[in-house]
Amino acid sequence: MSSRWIRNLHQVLSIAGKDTRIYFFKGPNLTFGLFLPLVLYWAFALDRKVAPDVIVPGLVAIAIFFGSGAIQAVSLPLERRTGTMHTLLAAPVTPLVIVLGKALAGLAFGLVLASVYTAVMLLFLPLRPNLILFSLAAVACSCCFSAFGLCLAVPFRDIPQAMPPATVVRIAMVFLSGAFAPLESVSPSWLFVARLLPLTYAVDGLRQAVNGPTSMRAFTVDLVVLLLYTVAFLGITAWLLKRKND
Amino acid sequence: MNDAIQARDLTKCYGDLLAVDRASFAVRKGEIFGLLGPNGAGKTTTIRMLTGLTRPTSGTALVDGLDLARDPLAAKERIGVVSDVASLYDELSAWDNLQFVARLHGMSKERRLGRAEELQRLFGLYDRRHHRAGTFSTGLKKRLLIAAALIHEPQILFLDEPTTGLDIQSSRLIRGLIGELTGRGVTMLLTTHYIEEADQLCQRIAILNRGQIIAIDTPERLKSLVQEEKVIQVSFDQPAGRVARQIQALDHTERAVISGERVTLHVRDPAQVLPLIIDLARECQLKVVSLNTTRPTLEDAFVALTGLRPEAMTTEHSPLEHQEGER
Repeated sequence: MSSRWIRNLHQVLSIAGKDTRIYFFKGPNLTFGLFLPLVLYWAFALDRKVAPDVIVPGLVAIAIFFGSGAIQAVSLPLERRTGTMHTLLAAPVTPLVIVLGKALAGLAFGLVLASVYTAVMLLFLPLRPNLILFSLAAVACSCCFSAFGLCLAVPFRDIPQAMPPATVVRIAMVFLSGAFAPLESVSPSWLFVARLLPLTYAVDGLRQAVNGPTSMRAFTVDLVVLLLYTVAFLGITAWLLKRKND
Repeated sequence: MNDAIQARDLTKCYGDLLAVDRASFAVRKGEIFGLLGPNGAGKTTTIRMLTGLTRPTSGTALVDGLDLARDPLAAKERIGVVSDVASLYDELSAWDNLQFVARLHGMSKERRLGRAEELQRLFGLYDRRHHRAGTFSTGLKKRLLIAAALIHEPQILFLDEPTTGLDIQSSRLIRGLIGELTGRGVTMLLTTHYIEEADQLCQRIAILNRGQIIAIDTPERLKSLVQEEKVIQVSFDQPAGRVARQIQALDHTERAVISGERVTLHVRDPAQVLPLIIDLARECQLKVVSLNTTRPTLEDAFVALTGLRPEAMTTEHSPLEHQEGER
């Protein structure tokens, strides 16, 4: 690896480490990562019979979806409002390195949440996920939703500005993606929209990891789609960040 | 090559607004160069283009011979930036902030630990190195920001309004540090709207107004542009406002500025005007408390060149004015 790559890797790790220290325990992260998925689950499951093998993978996907993105909804606008983004951009650091560092912090937060939910599954529910597949799916989900969170937050300079549109988009995606109910019974137009959403592939991947894969090919497709979305979101965010400062 | 910084026809437009219009100048190695102008003159935009924080609409910015558009990372390794809108992380300690910036510059652990300690001692921050930056006063935060900009030992430092909003003690300390850095061979480009600060610190000054550079020279040469004009300062025992009309109408007077009991008259020949002032004081029953003639200041040169009143620079008072007032 060339010295430039090693240096970029150190910069990414430094930014991720700094974000982890500063933003991990901010209120919105806990609200969005832990409490909001549970509230949504409770609201949906009230007075309905829902099987844990259907609902729990969806719940984990939503927790990662909100949690990984929440750290970005705090960190990116805050850095721009307080002026610390200037300090980052004045250093010999590319916008892509900044974005990767922040995405890595979101990924870490997503994995912490996934671990919490996995522990709950193993300790209190009759579910026995394939831990290798579940870990792969959780990493792919965390990468994708961390990058998605950055993409939603980059246009804004303030947390109150950044949160409402991001929350509206996320909640719409939750109900369209089949997180609470399988997509087999929905209309073709709904299915078409659902297939455009990364959360659909996250839910499907986690469901296969918990219940056993329908086929390894289907599971691999889920992971590949999530990683392609990750690359696209990271690229768009780096481009927007650069444009914002021009 | 003797130029550390070069601006060649730098232009920046934000939509229809022309923020900087073909700014061209060069800063020699080891020089302190000032960009002086009122708020909105284009100083900060110029510094942002020279530090790679914003892309020029046209023109070229070079630092240490490197084109910021072509090689921004190599150029940024050679410079330190203290922007008036930049800040460090309130949640991290002073020490951790410096370590974080040092890591971004790819410094080795040994080098960054030594350098952070050296700078914190130099800037009087060492005793508070483990305190969170959020608990610091504005002056301490500015010192920490300058220390962070110097952590990788750049030979070129950009300072955007380094003393704006600071108390007298911090302003004085930062001006002292700027002087000390010159002794170490660091080239500095600073922006300020404090005329006295530019006069005191800078070896050369570019005066900006409405995005255009209207003069570049040493403070002494800029003053000599209005050398034929002399200044008489007279203080009365009571406010001079009540005789403002008579003062403005004095013969041989270019212009008069009344500030409380003090009147500043810009004249061609003081010998002709001094008797008129004494006569006016006698007629209006005012006592002359003090009377002296002075050379034109940089402020006079600024007013002559820009056509702006000094108050247009800012609504804030210069820290130097406060200091002088307290003596």
